[in-house]
Amino acid sequence: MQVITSSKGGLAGFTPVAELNATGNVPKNGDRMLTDLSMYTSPPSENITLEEFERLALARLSVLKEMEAYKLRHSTKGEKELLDKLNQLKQKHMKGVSTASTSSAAAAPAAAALGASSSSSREEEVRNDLISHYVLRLAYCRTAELRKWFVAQECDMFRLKFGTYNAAEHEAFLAAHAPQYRPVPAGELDEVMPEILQVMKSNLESKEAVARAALDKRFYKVSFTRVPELVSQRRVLLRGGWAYVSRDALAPLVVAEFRAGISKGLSDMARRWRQMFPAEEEQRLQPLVASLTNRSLLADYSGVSTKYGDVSAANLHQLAARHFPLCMNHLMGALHSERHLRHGGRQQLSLFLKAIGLPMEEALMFWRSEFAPRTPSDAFDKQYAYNIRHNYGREGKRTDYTAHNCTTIVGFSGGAGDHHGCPYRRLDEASLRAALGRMRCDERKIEEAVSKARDGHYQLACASAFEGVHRVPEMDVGISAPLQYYAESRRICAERDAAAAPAAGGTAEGADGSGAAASAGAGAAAGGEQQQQPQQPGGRGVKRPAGALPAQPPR
Amino acid sequence: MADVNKRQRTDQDGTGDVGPSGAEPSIDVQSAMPRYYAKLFPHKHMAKWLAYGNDSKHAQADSHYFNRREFCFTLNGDIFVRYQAFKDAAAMQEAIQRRCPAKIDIGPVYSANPQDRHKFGAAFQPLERELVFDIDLTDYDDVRTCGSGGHICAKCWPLMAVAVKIIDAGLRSEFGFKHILWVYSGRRGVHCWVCDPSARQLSDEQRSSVANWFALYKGHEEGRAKVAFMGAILHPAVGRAAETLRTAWKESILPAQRLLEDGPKCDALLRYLPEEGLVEVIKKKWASRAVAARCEREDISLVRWEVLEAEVNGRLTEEKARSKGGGNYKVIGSLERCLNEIVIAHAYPRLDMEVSKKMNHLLKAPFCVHPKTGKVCVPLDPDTVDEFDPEGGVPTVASLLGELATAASAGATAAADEPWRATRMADAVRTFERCLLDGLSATNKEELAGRTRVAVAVGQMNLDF
Repeated sequence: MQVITSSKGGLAGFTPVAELNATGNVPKNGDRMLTDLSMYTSPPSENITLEEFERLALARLSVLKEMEAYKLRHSTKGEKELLDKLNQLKQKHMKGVSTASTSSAAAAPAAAALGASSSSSREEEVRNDLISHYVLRLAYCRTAELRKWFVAQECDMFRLKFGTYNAAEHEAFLAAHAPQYRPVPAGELDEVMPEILQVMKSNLESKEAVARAALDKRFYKVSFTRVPELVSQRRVLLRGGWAYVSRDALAPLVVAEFRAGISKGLSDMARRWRQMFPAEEEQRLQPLVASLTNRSLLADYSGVSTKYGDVSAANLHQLAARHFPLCMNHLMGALHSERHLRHGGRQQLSLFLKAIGLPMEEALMFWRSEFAPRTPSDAFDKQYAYNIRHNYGREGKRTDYTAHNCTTIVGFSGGAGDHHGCPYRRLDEASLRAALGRMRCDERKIEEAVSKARDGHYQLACASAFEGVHRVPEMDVGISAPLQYYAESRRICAERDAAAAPAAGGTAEGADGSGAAASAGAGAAAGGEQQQQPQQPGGRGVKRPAGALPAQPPR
Repeated sequence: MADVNKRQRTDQDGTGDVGPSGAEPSIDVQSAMPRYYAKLFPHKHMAKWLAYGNDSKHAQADSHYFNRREFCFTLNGDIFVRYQAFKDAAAMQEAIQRRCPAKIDIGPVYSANPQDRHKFGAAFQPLERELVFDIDLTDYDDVRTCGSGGHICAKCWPLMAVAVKIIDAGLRSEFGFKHILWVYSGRRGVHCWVCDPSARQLSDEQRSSVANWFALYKGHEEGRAKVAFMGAILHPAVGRAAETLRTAWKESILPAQRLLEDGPKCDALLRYLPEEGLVEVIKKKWASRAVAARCEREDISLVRWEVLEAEVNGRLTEEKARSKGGGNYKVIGSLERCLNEIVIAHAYPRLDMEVSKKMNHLLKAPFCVHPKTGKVCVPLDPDTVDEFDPEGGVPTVASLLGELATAASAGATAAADEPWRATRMADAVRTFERCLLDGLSATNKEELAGRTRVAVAVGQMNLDF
């Protein structure tokens, strides 16, 4: 796979995964019968533009992340619902992402519009699937933790898809992607069937399972070396070194093989990470790939401070009550009642306040007044003002610090007297209920949030609280940063205020607004990407913002 | 990686002192070893086997293959000298004759010459190794009535013979292996070497799975053996084994071991029956005059077993007929199961699992001499394993040297480089050729040809870095 920049047009000479192509079997067109599933044994080998590279990666990442969140929220949902959700997400993120840069650009949307899955659009799907998978491999191969996450998500997706296949599809898929699983010919099967059934009975399998196997008559044979666990437990018929595996038993084996393949690919890639980015790519592709994993995939809320520029020391408590997530609200409360916050809490709150647009002078005023009278103002200036100014990049090494996101905050630990960290994690259930009640959260949602927090899904708990406080329908994803909570909250309230002002059609607008909130995350990500300019070679190589806020529809 | 050097280890050069020291009975054997290695040990055959065709002029033959194989010498005084490796057959022969090891163990083929292992650090890994099994009669001491520990005789050999037959049949029909060498270990058991290319390349996990496949016997609990099967219906592989066992049980094991002769033995065996009533009935039958009379004429264990079998089967038919629905399936299940359970618990092969599970486990080489007994580890033909006599039928160093002397005085014109052809060692080597080497040569050629195909395919691939 080569990546070229559209601005330059020329070949960039970057072949990140070509060396993995050692198997030498470039997939033929005939192998593409099934568009949505692949063992990913060989990487793509075409030239793509940098924009497409990024767009495809983000699209797949959106699918994986939203799928993960959906599963966490709906742990009781069956395979069917999960699959529907997956298809829906694929439709949302993956459809037409690459049309801009390919020759079939004109044809694909037209075909999609007609509802016909023409061969060209199917091929397009396969291509997108393959490229996006490999780009994400690049991004997620770097640490063990990233690899683990990526493998888990990809395997889940694979398992879901593979489980829905019927016998013929399984056969076609295995023939194309896993020829080591050979279907047992009918004649041979008739001969071994009695013994296969005997094996099942000897393992005390249920009568239904035995009957199903006898009816299905689809068996595969595979070298015994590939199924050591089945052999160990004598759960399989062995003949001449071949293990006879039923279609029921096949899925876990294929998934295991899929997992092993990806894991190996990822660790190989990690080992070659340095070599794969030659010097000239260090500035251009490496930061892009590296930043993929850091993206929240939600809109970048850095524009919030200018958008809602009314933040001042005077209205901070008012804003907090209405728009702050529990973690910040909790800090505000503690600060106000104790007239003090310890270092961790000061950092967490102060950076957040800066991010929502509180100017430095206002910040100093706010903190000084909150610390008084316990800390007199001259003592405050001596002990604490430096730190506030430092956060604003006016002292020391003058870095413009960004606010913590949820991952960081959830990870904070603190002792007694500390109020920072994620309250969904740190507070006991009674205090959590009380705190959410003070935020006037819906009763039912309080219980939902508490139970999510109990299960360790703190960000989802926060999302539940958001829904409860703002009376909006379910959001697709969890809260990923306090700033996101704040921005969403401001937006919804602004929309409601705007809708309420003209008085007419208020209800319809309100419903519309909450709908937009539900899909805000992904929509914003996709919208943001389209506006992105390709990064010039030799650029500064800093992390780029994930995308701008979507243009607010005029009210 | 170092696993077998329990006592003392000197890597490269041991003391080298193999002269007589003390008055142990092993001295006789030890002092005969120089002559044994000079005249009787089939060096060429061993090297040919372990080279797997890589000693040929074939274009793909890996001339370093043999040199990456670990040998471990046990020198006099239990000094283990591990990580020995030899360039070729001649170098191996020279070293063996010079050091005269009391025992030679064979280890895996590593990624590099084991003598250079320190240069390679973590890259020094075992790559290939025959799949091996070790079965010892000591593991049957709860079954054997003829002796225990290192004891072996014609009475307990049937247990080994049936083990060889079952494992051999399983390896061939279930796992599809073809090149299987069975060796009498020189004292109280047998070794098995599976030499197919696919077997040599098995990972540790896969080796464990094969060993587990054959591990039905799971030790003892409350006076009866635990057996790893659950239902009345047996896995086809277990079913076949049980059939072999029940034949051997009646033909040889039962009469030889006299398992139903004395009271405690009988009680132990009857404990496997599921119903107290059944046990009472059988005991009464055994005591009845007709049976007792038969016992006097025929083998008492066999007669008692037939009575037991008949009673269990009778009880089974009765239970099945008792109600139309086929009776209580639990009762039927345990009745159907108990006879197989008895034979399997007593006579199913009891593997030393650890030997099979790891690629880098050492195992004594064929044609070694057991230092205590002087017996040579001779290959066994599984087809005639029943006839094998572990006492008188095994050549010893002393007997072979005697034959050699007789042949020399008779002026027989044995080949000068292989004097053993005039002794009973020739039979052992012929078994080795028939059971292993003859079949292996075709497979070796195939394997090399396969390497050619891969090499060509790799050459044709245009790698674009």
